[in-house]
Amino acid sequence: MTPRHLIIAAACAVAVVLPYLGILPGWTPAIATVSAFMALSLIGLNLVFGVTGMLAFGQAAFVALPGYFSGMLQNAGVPFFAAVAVGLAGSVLVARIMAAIFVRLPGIYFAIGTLGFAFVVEGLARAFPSLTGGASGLILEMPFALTRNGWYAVAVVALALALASYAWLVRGAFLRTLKIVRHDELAASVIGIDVVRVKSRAFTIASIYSGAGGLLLAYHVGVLAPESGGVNTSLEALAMVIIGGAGTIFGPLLGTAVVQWLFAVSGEAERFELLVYGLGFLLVVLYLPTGLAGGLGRIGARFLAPVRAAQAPASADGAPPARMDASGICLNVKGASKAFGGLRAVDDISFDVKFGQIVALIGPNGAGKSTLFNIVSGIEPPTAGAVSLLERDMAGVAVHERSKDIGRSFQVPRLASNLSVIENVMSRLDSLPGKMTEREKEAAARAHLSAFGLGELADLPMSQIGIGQHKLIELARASIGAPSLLLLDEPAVGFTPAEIERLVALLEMLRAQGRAILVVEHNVDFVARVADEIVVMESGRMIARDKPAEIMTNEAVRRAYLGALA
Amino acid sequence: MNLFTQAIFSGLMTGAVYALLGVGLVLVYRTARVLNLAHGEAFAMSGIVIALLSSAGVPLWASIPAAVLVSMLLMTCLHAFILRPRSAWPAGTLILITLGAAFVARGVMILLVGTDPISFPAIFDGPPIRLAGGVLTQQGAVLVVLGFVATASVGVFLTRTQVGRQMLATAENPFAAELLGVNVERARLFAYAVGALFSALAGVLLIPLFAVDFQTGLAMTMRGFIAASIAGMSPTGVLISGFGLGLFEAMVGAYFGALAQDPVMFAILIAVALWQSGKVRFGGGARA
Amino acid sequence: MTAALSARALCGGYGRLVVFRDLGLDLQPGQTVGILGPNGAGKTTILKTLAGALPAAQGRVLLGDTDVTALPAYHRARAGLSLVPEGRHILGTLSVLDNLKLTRAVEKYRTDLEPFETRLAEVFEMFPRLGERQRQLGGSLSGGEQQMLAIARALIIRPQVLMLDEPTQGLAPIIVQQLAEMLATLKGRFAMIVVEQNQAFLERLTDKIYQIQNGAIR
Repeated sequence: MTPRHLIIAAACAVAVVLPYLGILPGWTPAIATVSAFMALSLIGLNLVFGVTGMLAFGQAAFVALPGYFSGMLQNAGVPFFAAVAVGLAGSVLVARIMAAIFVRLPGIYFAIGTLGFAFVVEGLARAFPSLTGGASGLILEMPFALTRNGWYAVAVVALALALASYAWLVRGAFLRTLKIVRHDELAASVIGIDVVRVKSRAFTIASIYSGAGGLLLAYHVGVLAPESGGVNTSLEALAMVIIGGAGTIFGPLLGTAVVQWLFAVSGEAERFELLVYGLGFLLVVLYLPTGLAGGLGRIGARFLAPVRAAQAPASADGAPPARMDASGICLNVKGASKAFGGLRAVDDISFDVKFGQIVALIGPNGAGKSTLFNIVSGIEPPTAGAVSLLERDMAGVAVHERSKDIGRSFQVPRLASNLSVIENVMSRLDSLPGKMTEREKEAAARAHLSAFGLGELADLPMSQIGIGQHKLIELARASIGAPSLLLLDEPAVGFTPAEIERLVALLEMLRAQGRAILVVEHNVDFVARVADEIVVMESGRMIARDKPAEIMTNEAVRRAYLGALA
Repeated sequence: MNLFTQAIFSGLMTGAVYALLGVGLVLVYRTARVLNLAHGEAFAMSGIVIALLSSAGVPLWASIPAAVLVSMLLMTCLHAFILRPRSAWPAGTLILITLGAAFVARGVMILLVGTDPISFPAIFDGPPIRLAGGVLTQQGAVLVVLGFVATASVGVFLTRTQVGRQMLATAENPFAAELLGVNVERARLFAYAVGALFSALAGVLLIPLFAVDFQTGLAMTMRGFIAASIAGMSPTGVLISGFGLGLFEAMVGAYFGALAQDPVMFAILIAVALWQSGKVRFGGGARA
Repeated sequence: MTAALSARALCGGYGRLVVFRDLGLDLQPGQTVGILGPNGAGKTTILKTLAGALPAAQGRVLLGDTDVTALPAYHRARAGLSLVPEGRHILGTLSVLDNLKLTRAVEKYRTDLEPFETRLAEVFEMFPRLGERQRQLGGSLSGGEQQMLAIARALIIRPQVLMLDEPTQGLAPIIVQQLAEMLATLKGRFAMIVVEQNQAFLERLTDKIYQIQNGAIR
């Protein structure tokens, strides 16, 4: 047990007995119980909003629904435990259906959509008093009673279970995936993440926590009011998550505890309640984005040794992966065209890239190179023509499905700043078929980074890495897991001559492994050195395709692009 | 009393409000690239300020301009002091900030007037208009006319005046507009001010007929957003979508009951969102 | 003679990324100067910093006698510093005429401008194709026509300094030739900086060519 673990354990023990110690005025077992149940449901909101970055503005609906379902079932004669189970299951089912609809929507629509859902739930609860008790609420009864201490014990156990299950569920590959989705959905797709499915899964899992907390709270209080599933409660929940620290494990707990305690202590100032929530929300978003947990974490980091000491993993000797066993044509582009309205961005382009070959795509800005790349990646469907990879037609194949065979880097690197260097590289392995354990993935990523000369950077957070290294790290991520084709968009931009040398060596190594590499570049010297074949584009058309020496002396190419630079 | 005609009148009134709110939302979204979830608070704020001043004895002709000014001031300050310095922040966080502002506004409203709905006397309280079996108050008629004229004139303003063209340019390409000498910051400020003005005026006219409470702001923002997105965020299209939405909602309310309105509006929102998102990839607007 | 545009120890880039350092420049009135270099070398960043679209990290920019370093881009445009940006950035949803009318934003700040109609007529004489298409939407013009419109927009405000960022980008060779001829007729009227990858184009047009490599001008 590291010192950090000991301190956390001690803090938890103190927290559990705190209501009985009497040192914190206002923090009674009753308040603590309510807070614990709220915090439980907030674990769900934190997962959706804090970790995955989805703007879930109506989560309270899923907090209240299980209680309503359960209460209505009980009124219909269903015994307590069955009603509760069905109630929770029903709410999760509704969440699953809503997820299928909402998750495909762009951020704004998702936000307004979830907000609207809370409006509707509250409205429906008011509209049918015979079923739901209307505005005065639904009475919930349990077949047995619990004392005040009994409830507190239930609360502590439930919360502990929830935290433990959360820590078990949301870790490793799944956590990395969620963080990447939050950071950059395009990069996520390109690495192989099915963004829609991942978001849907997060939304559904979140509703379990929301509902569990909501059920416990509803039966504890004994009455379920329509507002508890409505917009105000959703916003208050959001405020507590934000204040506590969105995205952190303890954030929801901290946020709930602090806010509920403040209200308990300040007494009857109910008029100020919403204003305080709102100010807390706004101020934290503006000035303290990591919330209380983040702030505490930073203070703690100064007193405690960093958790991640330089661990020496098993191998990591920088040996490049084995040679790929393939030959022939890897990528075939035939007659590809893409028109945007009247503009032909790509016009009837045909070429192929063989295994163990580097093909460079050059041409003036606006020639259509990026659009062609997007067609090969699957980001844009061609309006005509076909793309085949490994002799398989790629029409209709989604971006994330192609990622097994295509590694892509971007003009402006898209690396997740909320992950470390090695986590970024490992993330591509998360989406590949075949089960690798965490240790295997880590070892492979370390070895790969060493082969790229980036070994010492592995454990650093991405935010500490200078922009100059980003491109190489992205190249490492794109090439791990042995994709057959590498698509590199301007890999040499901004490089010094020394860095270009390094890049040339790396590309030659990748080529020697048998990969097919397609590069877009403006740096003509670099291209001439490294490419086996050059394709020249201008205004969407291919005007030349030949070996570097021939291209440099080609008249048409000089006029269109090279000028006198060669 | 003809149910149908009455629904039409009611729908025209709410439609006018949706058009007014929607056009302001679009203006701000296009010029400042921010979806302002606090937009509807200008509507609610103006009502609450007038109600407070009225109960303190201030005559309407003084309290109304004061309320409109307060709304406009709040919105432009939100932009100038909170949003503009952070314009490079991710879009999701900016939306969150506007939500926080709406939240604070709600809190202030509860503080000022509590949770019960409030209202104030109408400006135009002459005999109502009786037509085709329905009744339309004078104030309501003024609202409809204002909604129509104001929203329609925005389209003309944007394309025919220098300032309007500058706003269009800022909306389409702030970089190019600035290189041409357009003060894009002023254009954005103007968009917020006009948006708040329309919302406040809508509030001034509608609230005497329907009352307002602290929840109204967000409800109005949502309706304005639905109108705006049906119109594809086009300022000229909001005229049709706003009135259309109002009429449709009134019909649903008349024939299926008021409580059916929210779920139906929500369903429309989802449908529109699905339709619009077919034009956007990656469920989050991420482009290569 | 006071330089039309000068830079002193200018450094600029994007946030933490410094793209160019220690740039010194003196552009005389009427002089035409070219900057040649491949992509990624910093040409666009330099022009954007001179124009005010990017803030300078260090150093100064002077337009004539005035220190404009702290002024935003629209202010410098009003003072007579005009940038035709890379990629043209035509306002596609506005007509050709409206694109040109937008420049009237500077009229309040310049006492030396002739009436808009006069300048408009002159611009249409220089670019008859634009005159023919004046009611057409900017987005419907061809690449060459958009480039003409971008230049017309810059010329109509009678700039003191005109900066062009890769004007031949994506244009067919024959259009490039027309463009070179048209710009040559404007030489001497004001100071001009042309940034390009196309050396032949620069050689025909400019008095002097600077090379740029990794943010340094030689």
